[in-house]
Amino acid sequence: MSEYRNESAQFNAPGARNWIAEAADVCKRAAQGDLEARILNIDDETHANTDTPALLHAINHLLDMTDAFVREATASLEFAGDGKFFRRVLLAGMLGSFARAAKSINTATSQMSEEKKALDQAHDQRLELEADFNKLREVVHALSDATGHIDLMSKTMAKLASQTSLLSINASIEAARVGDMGRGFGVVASEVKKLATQAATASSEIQGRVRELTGAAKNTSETIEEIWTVIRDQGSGQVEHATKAA
Amino acid sequence: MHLTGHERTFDPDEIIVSKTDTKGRITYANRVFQRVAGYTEAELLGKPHSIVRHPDMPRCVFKYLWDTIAAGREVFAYVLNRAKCGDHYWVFAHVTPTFDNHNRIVSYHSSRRVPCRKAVNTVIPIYQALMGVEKRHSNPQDQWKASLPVLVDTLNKAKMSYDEFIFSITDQYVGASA
Ligand SMILES: Cc1cc2nc3c(=O)[nH]c(=O)nc-3n(C[C@H](O)[C@H](O)[C@H](O)COP(=O)(O)O)c2cc1C
Repeated sequence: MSEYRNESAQFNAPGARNWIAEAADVCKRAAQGDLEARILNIDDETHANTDTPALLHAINHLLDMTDAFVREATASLEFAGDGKFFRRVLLAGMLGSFARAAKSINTATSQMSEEKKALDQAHDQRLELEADFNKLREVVHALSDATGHIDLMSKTMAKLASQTSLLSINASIEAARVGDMGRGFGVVASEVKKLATQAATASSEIQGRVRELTGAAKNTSETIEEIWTVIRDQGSGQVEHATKAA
Repeated sequence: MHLTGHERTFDPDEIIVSKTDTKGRITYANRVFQRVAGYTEAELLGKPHSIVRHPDMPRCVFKYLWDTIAAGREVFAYVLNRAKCGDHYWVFAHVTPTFDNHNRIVSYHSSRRVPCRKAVNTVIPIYQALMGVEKRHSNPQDQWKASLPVLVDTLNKAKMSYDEFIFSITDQYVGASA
């Protein structure tokens, strides 16, 4: 049993413990932050002063309450530091200043929890914005692809028009060669020539518009990529901030 | 093991405190502990903490408790204890390791508060289910090996960690009137 006594008990002659010296030693250790010390085997009967056992029990009780508070507060704050806010300081058995300090910690933890929620929400919203903006980028890319296609098609159209024009000239020559019989055919050939000229004008107009469109699409694309870089940088900044806060 | 079926309780303002060495042998028990458990200090000091173990407590809870504190973390548990006379009493226990300046575990500490009935009523059927699984085995190790997955499964179904579960059924005032 003696191995479970406080060390200070060993300073006294067997059978005659110096309670006051033991109490002083336990208090001294506690003041140095050692909350493990307690006065063990308090004998409630044989004391010169009848108040002594009450004093010794009171010291143990004070240490028990302090020890419990320190363990509770440490645990709650360690959890909060880890980003887990459900761990509240238990208020049962905490009185007076212990209770007030415990409540302050719990209030602070609730606030941290709310802030974390707001931060998470902002993060989610940013992710949504990022996704929406990415869709916009795709649309702009598709538009610029489409203008490219139109450009190609109008070039094909211009080529067809010039070939048709050549063909109609050949047809007029052939029609002239057969004389009167070819007159009707010559009229058709000259109408075809007019249509080919109109088609050539239209296609060169289209090409002009497409050039304008391509320029605009390129500008839009560049601006969108610039905004995209800003959004992405903000995102990584926010994540860094969140991980630092957690 | 003698059981009376009679339940004891203690004040919401009181805390049952005990300390143990790293093996779980009691090195300190406060007066509330002595009164509620019905043992004298001399009967408790040096004894394994299982001196207040109640046979209806599933082994896997203690397995989880010891694994957690040995890893340096705190643990909470609703525990049914047995007093010397065979009465039983429910506690909401908080067990923590004590470290020296080199961060080595030198002892354990436990404070217990009186739990609220609602929490106890939530825990009882879970413990009964775990006991049902453990009763199919005779070897203590086989018992917790069989019941621990059932506990884990119960928590997974509730989508909570053990700690979250405990705090979800525990008011910060515990049994105390707020
Ligand atoms: C600080 C501390 C407090 C404990 N408190 C209790 C308790 O109140 N009741 C209990 O049955 N076991 C408690 N235990 C767990 C016991 O050490 C033991 O594991 C448990 O009673 C199961 O006993 P068994 O493994 O011999 O079956 C505590 C352990 C420690 C370290």
